[in-house]
Amino acid sequence: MTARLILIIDDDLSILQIAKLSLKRGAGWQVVTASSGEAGIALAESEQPDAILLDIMMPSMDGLATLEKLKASSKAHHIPAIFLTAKTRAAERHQFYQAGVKGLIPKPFEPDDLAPQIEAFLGWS
Amino acid sequence: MILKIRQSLNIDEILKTAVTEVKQSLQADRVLVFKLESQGMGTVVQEAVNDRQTATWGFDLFDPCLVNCVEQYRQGRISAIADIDRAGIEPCHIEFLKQFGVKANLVVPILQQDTLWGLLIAHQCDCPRQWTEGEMEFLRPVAAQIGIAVAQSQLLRELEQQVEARTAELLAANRQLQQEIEERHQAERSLRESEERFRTLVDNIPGAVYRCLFDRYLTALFLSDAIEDIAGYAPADFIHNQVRTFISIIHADDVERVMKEIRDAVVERRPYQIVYRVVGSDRRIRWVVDDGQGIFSARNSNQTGDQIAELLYLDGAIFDITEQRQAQQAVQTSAAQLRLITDNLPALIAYVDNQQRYQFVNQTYEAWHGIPQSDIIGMPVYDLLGEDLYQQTRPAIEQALSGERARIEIKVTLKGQQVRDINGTYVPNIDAEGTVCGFFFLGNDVSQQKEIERLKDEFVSVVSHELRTPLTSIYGSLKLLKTTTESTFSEDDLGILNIAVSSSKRLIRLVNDILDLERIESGKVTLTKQACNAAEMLSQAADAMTTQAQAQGLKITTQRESVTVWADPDHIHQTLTNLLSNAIRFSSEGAMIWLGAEERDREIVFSVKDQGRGIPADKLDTIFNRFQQVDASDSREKEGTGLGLSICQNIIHLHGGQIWVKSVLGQGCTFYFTLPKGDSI
Repeated sequence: MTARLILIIDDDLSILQIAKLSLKRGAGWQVVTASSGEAGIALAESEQPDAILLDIMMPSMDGLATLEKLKASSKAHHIPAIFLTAKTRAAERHQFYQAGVKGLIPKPFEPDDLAPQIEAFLGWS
Repeated sequence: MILKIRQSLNIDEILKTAVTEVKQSLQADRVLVFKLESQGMGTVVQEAVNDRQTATWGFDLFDPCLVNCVEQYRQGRISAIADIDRAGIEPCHIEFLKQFGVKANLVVPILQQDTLWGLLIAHQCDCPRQWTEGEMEFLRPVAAQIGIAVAQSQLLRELEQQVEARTAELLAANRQLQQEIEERHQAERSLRESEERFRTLVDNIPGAVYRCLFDRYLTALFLSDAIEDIAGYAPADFIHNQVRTFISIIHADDVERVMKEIRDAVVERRPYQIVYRVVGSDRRIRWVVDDGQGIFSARNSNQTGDQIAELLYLDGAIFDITEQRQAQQAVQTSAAQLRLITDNLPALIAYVDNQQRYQFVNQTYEAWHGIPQSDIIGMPVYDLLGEDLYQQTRPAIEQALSGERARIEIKVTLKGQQVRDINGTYVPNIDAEGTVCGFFFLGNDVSQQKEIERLKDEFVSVVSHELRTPLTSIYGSLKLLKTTTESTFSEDDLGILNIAVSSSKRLIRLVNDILDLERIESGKVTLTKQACNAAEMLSQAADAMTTQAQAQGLKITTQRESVTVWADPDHIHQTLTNLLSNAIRFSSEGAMIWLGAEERDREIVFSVKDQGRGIPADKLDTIFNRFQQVDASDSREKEGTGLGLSICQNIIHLHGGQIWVKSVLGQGCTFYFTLPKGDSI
């Protein structure tokens, strides 16, 4: 399994911690975290991660706005993003895919399944 | 002979007897009775004559010399000529007598009192004859008797004529009488028939027909049998107040009014219609309507000569309206109750006719529009609602007036600029002939409901995020702890850790199910229906559950019949996996689970059959209710939430299908659900 660098953006520090540990321990990937959209965009541009795991409901700048900014960023627009969300309604899912996400991982997630799910969405093998 | 004459009243017979007997007695050639008509003229009314002599009977004779002798005869003198040639009589007389061959004659006058009626004449034709005194004396009483007989005969004839005339008169009178009798009978028959018709007519009138005097008793002159039905008294009782007066059966409180109304109508010469109460023989009160009028006769006033009218009597009919009145009162009571109920309902209620004019509004409706009820009634809907609101409601109004029920949601801006959400139902009012007379409007202010829904949505959204986020942390932490550091835990600690992991998993499922159910029940789920292959759906569901089934040593068999259903595949997948999950959880190791789908009529019937413990009969009906499980401990031991079947039921109902279960306790159960066929849309 190739060592990947994943950026996780979530305002909930617990989730950041769990997700980070799940990917590190489960897949041995490198993880950088940000607790806001703004910080996340900066990290994405500077660290150039292989993928971004993005929470939707965040104060100030929510997941969709962050994604929009990322897509608009010359340095980060190419980085695939996956939403990590408690919102799983069909209409919303449709809206998210329209916004350009590569996949949706519902909360609560299974720590062991997190890395395989990301790989499946992004076509990593 | 005289006896014969006396005994007979037949003049012809008398005269015949007389002439025959006299001729025989005198041995004369001819004996005749000459009836004197006028001067010298006469008729031979009877004659007895020898065969060889000329018969004179029936001759009208004229003897010019007779005039000279009339006076002599009237005095009763008899003329006896022995030989006409030697008697010195007038030659014309001799001439007259000779034409009958007379040689000698004896003439005796027949007198009736002083009138010379005729002559009894005896002729001797062969030879002269000297008439004896005895012969003359013989003829005198004969002539006298003839005179009497003639007089009697005349009298008799006159009598007979009188009798005949009288008889004719009597017959005529009798005929007239009979005709009159017949006419009278005819008149009586007509009258009877007329009366019969009148009686039938009166009897068939559903009321008591009357004729009465307008006096203090309303004295009845005629009253039909129907009064007995109304008051329980025989009509004869009232006629001329024989037993009771009509006024006595009118309710005491109504008498004065009734009399006044009749009086007013009579004075104004118009018919009257009075509703009043009649107290019957059983003391029961009947309501009647009395339709009548005064009948007047015109007569000349003595002073002025003008025609003045005199009230003869009152004619009319009394109808029992108790039942109508009771029905009317019931309707009024019902209307009042309806008004009371509708006025106290917080809903907007109105009835609008097919001309789109208000016919009824309740207090809430009145209060909403701030216009008095009395002003709204009759007002066109457009005028009250205004352009904007009318255009919003118009499709529903038109649909209702076309006979179809309509429902709409409208936003109404109140005068205070407050916007309210109204849920309006329009129910057409269709009469027995199928004509739409109007529609009922029922409006509910759902503003508060909408606000609650909004808050609930918000709450669900918050819950889904706020509950799931810490749950994710708890579950993730426990899972990481368990998978990475298992070796460092004691067996007891590991047991506790497992409890924490499974409990948090259960909590996650519960939250997911609650949110799922809420979304479906609140109608927020939009089905994306498409034609789906039932066999494919069954195998996908089986694949999804294979791992779980194999872990329990179970085998899933899927029937591969290719039928197409019209459904939302994601939701049907959820339903099938839910049912499969139940089957797996309640089956023992080594058991079989069958998935099937078959066509029946216009539907496809899906089935999920297991060999598990089954469901008791008393639980079959409630198993689809929320948190209803066969055993209360199932939610813990079998990892169910108690919401799965409720979610399945909701999904199937959303598809227009049915879901049910059949089970034999201890032998397993089969869940069935139906979906419309793919080509049935």
